[in-house]
Amino acid sequence: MEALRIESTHKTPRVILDPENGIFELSGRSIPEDALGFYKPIFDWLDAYAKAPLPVTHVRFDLEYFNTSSSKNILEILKRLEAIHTNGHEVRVTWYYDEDDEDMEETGQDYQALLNLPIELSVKIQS
Amino acid sequence: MTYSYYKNMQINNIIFVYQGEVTADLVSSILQMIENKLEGEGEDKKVKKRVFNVMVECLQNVYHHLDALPPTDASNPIKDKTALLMIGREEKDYFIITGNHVLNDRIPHIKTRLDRINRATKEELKQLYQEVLTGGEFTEKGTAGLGMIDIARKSGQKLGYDFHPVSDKYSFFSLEARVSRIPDKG
Amino acid sequence: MTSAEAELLHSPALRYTYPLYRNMLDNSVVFMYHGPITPDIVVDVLGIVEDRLEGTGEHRRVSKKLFNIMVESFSLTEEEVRKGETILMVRQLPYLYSVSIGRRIRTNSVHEVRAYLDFVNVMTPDQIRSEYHRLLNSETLEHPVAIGGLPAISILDLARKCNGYLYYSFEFLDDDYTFFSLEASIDKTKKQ
Repeated sequence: MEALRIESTHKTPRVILDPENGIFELSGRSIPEDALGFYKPIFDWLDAYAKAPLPVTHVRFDLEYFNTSSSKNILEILKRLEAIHTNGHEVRVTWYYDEDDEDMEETGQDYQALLNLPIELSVKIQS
Repeated sequence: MTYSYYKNMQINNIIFVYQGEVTADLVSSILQMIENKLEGEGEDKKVKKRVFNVMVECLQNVYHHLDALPPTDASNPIKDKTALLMIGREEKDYFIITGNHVLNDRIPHIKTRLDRINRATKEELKQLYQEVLTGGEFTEKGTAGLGMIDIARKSGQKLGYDFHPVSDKYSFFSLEARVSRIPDKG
Repeated sequence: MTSAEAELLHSPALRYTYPLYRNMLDNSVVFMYHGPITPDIVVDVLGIVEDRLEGTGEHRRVSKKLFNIMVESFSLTEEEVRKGETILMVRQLPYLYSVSIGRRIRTNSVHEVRAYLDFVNVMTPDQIRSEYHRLLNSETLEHPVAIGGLPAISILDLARKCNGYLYYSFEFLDDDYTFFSLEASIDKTKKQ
């Protein structure tokens, strides 16, 4: 299916959902004024993808910061990924966080606890 | 406490106030914020530019004034090097107020300068500026001499000021520049 | 013109500049912003606060925390944002930073807000985490749990991030509105 690509802004993340190239990524910041409006197309895309996913889907989260309304939407994304995984099409998530960002690390742990989905926490190397 | 500040800011039409040390980085961060704020307000382009330019001059002015203070030691607590930066918006004008410590023996000099600046017409200000630039009667260390003239020229309005005694050595000097929100004025 | 004449042309704020300066200094208030709080403002405020942070590793950690707190505090003001009846205040004390948000809430929801904050303030970190998870998982996107108009999940998130007490105060304005302020602080020195 067609890839979904959304360029980042100073308030919203970069989104790449590209099965052909095997790139699935959410990166940057998420503090949109209309969180649901921003995330809905992503939910819709994932619902369509779920019908014919790749045998293995690697998803990368590399977020700088986000507010709780975004964290709810991210949970919704992860729930859909969880469903795909549970249905027999492997999904692996890597949750990146800045070494000094305890909150981001904790949020990754939250998602690990809440879902039946392989989520790996990974420290970003400082450049 | 928060409520009394809120009330004060509301009554006095203050948008933003900073208290503390003034470094070059801080100045640029504050300017960034002001720029974005003005952008968000949908102010006329000319007004935005004018407010921003006046702000730049005011911040530079504080920076230089602080620089001119003697180094801090046991008798001068670090707070002498701190300043207050304030920006507000009334119906007709934006106002920018800066506050910093100055040595008491400098006050007559500053007052004289300010009164002279306020008496001058637009043309006279221009001349005054050239005078100082080329080393006229207002010559002094650094560009603090030019600073206030520049503020007055860019704002297009008289400068307000206040000296508040703090100790036998220092006073707190507040300077106000006003910028009209009407594009063609000033 | 004379200084008396100069005085007539300035704003009321000029006369209060020194008292305000002293007041802020005495209360360790670094910064205050009054007006609509947008994500842009939060980003810019962080830029200002970051410049005051010293050190290296600590600097990044504290800065991240502070930022995350501010981002979250902002969501407490969403309704009032457009009206601009909000204040954001940052304090810097020797061992801590704090972020305060002040806004109006409906007077008839004060008891509810107070009760919820008292409830959160006696929770252990584990209890906060469970409650946060519970809300994250159970509430829908369209109908977040609100306490007097404030999103409960944001309050929990703040409590978790600052790992301490959420200080709050109420100032009765009239039968309709009360001014509410919430302060979240972080310890500069230790890991939370």
